[in-house]
Amino acid sequence: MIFLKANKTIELIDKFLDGVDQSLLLFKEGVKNYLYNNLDSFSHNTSSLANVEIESDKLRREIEKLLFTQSISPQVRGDIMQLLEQMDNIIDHAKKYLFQFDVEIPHIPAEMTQDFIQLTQVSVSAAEAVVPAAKAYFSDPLQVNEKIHRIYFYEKETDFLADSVRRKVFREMQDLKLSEKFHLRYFTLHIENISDTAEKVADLLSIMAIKRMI
Amino acid sequence: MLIVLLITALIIAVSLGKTELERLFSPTMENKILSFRATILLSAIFVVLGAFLIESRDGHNLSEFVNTNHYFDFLFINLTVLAIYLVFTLLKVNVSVIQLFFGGITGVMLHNNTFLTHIGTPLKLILCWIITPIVAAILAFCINKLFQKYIFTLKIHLLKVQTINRMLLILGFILFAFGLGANNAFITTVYLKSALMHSIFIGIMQIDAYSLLILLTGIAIAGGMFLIKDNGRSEKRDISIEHYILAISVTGVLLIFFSFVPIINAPLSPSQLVGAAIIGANFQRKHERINFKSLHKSFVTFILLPLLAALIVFVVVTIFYSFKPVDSVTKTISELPEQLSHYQLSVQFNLLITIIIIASAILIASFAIYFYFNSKKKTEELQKRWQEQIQFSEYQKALTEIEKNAIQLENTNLSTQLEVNRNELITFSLNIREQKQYLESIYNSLQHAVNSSDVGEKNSIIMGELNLLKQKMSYSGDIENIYKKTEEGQLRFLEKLNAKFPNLTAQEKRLMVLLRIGLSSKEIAPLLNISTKSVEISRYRLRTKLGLNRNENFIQFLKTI
Repeated sequence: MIFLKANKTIELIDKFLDGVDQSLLLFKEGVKNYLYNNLDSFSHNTSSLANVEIESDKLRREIEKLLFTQSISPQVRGDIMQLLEQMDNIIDHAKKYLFQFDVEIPHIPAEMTQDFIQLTQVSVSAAEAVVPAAKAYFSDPLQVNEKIHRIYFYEKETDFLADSVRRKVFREMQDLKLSEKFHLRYFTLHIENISDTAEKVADLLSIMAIKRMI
Repeated sequence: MLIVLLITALIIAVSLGKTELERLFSPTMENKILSFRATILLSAIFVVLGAFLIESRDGHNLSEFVNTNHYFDFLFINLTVLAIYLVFTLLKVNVSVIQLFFGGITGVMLHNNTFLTHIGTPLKLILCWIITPIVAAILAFCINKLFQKYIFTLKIHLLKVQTINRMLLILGFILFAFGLGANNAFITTVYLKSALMHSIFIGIMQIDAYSLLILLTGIAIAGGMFLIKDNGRSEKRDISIEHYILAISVTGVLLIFFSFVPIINAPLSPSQLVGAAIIGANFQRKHERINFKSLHKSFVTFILLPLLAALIVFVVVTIFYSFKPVDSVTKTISELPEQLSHYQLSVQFNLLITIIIIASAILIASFAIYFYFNSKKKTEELQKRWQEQIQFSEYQKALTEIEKNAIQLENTNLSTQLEVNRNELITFSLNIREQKQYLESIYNSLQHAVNSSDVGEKNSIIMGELNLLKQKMSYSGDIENIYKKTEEGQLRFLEKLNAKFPNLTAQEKRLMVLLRIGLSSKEIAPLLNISTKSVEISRYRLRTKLGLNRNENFIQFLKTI
C-alpha cells in the first residue's frame, strides 16, 4: 500500500528500459535487412521502431509526471529524468538513423556489407549494455561500475571499427564516386553515434552511482 | 504585571519556535520531499502535544537554578533575551534562545551573589550542553556507518528508498517536534509556576493553571513555526536527505530522553544537537564536508551570546537596584496570585486562558483546513497542466508524423519519377542505336548497289532494301525489343501489379507499363498497332477494371504502385 505509487513508477521505468532494448534490436535487424536487401522486413523494422519510439516517449512523460507528483527529492528526480532523457536519445537516434537508410537509400557495396554489419553489432552492443547498468543503478549501485565497463569497451571497439571502415572506403574502394564515399562515411558516423550516446549515458550513470553511494 | 511577564515570555517562545525550526526546515524545503505547510502543521501539533504531555518538568535542572523570585529580574531577563534575539537575527547571526535565557538567569544570579552557592546546577547544565552534542555526533556516526554497510546489500529499489525516506522524515519530524515541545516549552515560563495556583474547568476536565501555561507556551512555539517563510534561510546546506533524517531523529530522541529522565533533566538546544549529528553523520564520508565556518558561528551562538546576555542582565539589574532598594520596588512572583485574588482576577484569568486555548485550537484547525484545500487545489492544477502538456506534445507528435509521411510520399514520388525518366532514357537510347545500325546497313547496301555494274544485282539490292524498309515500318520486331527492355526496367512494378491485380491480361499490363514510363496515347497507338481511339477505350476499360474513381489520376496511380 505504501509503495503503490513507487511500484507503478518502477513498472513504467522497467517498461521504458525494455523499450530501449527492443529499439536496439530493431535497429540492428533493420540495418541487417537493408544490407541483405530484405526490403519488406526492413520496412517492417522501421515501422516497429517508430511505434516503439512513440510508446517510449509516452512512458517517459508518464514517469516524469509520477516522479514530480510523488515528491521524490529533486536531486534524485533530476538525475532519473536526465537518465531517461539520455536513454530516450538512444531510441530517437536508432529510429532517426534507420529512417535515413529508408529515405536516402545509401549504396553500400557488397564487399562492405560484413563491415557494416559488424560495426552495427558492436555499436548496438555498447547501447545494449546500458540497460542492465541503468537497472543496477536503481537497485544495486555497487554493480554499476562493473556494468559500465562493457559500454566503454564496446564504444572503443566501435570507434576502431568505424575508422577502419572509413579507411577502407576512402583508400581501397577506388570504383566508388566521392559522393558515394561521403555518403558511406555519413552512415558510419550515424552507426557510431549510437555507441557515443551510450557512452554519455555511462558517464552519467557513473556519476549518479557515486552520488547514491556517498 | 503578571500579564506583562506572560506576554514577554510568550514572545520569547514564539521566537524560540521560529529560530530552532527555521534552520532545520531548509533541507526539507530545498528537497521538497514534504509539503512545507504540512511539515509546519505536523510539527506544530507535536510540539503542543510534547509540551502538554511531558510529566517531568517539575524536577528540571533549570528550575533548580532559578532561585530568584523577583518579578523585575525576570522582566529584565526577558527583555534582554528579546533585544539580543532581535538585533542578532537582523545581523543574520544564529541565536539560541535557551542559552540566552540561561545567560540572563546567570546575570541575575551573579548580581544576587547566589551563583557560586548554586554552582552545581549551571555546571551540570553546561556539562549536558557539552556532552549531548558529542553523544548526538557519535550516535549519528554509528547509525550512519551501520546504514552505509547494510543498505546496499538489501538491494532496495531507489524509488522505494525514497518512499521509505519520506516516511522516516515524517517520523523524524514527529520525534523532533515532540522532543522540542517536551524539552523546551517550559523554559520561558518556568518561573511563573508559583504565581499560578488556580485551576480551570473545561467541561468535566480540570486542568491546573501551570499545565495550561505550558500548553500555551507550546502553542506559542508552534505559532512561531508559522512565521517561517517558505523560501527558508539563505544559507544552503550540503546535506543528503538520509543524514538530515538521521540528525533530526537523533536530536528528537535525545530531547525526549533528557526530558523524561529526572537526574539528567536539562533543556537542550535542538539546533546545536542537529548540527552535531550532521557533523557526526558526515564525518565518515569526508573530513572536508565538515563546515568549519559554521563551527565558528556556533561558537558565537552558543558561547559569546549567552555571555553577552549575562553581562547585560547583570549590568541592568545592578544599575536598577542601585537606584531603588529591592524591598521598595519589587514584588515577588509568589505574591502576584495574592494580588490577583485581591483584585478577584482569577476567574477572568481562567476565562482568558480558556479563550486563548480555544481560539488557538480553532486557528490551527482553520489553518489545517485551509492548507489542505489549498494543497489539493494546487495538486489538481498541476495535474491539469501536466495533462494539457502531454496532450499538446501528442498533437505536436502527430503533426510531425503527418509532415514526415508527406515528405516520405514526396520522396517516393520523386524516386518513381526518376525511375521513369531513366527508363525513358534507356528506351530512347536503344531506339537511336538500333536506328543508327539500320541506317548504316541501308547506307552500305546502297553504296554496294552504286558500285555494282550489274543492273540486275543493283535492282535486287534495291528491292531487298525496300522489302526491309517495309518490314521495319511494321515495327513488330522493334516493338518486341522495346517491350523487353522496358519490362526489364519495370520488373518490380510488374511483380507488384501481378500481386495486386492478378486478373489483368498481358495486353493490359503492356498498356500500363507504357503509360507508366510516360508515353501518351498517340505514342502508344503505333506501338500496339491500334488506333489512338482504341488506346483511349482500353485506358477507360482499365480504369473501370482497377476500380478507379473519376477524380483519380490514372498515371499517378500507376506511379504509386
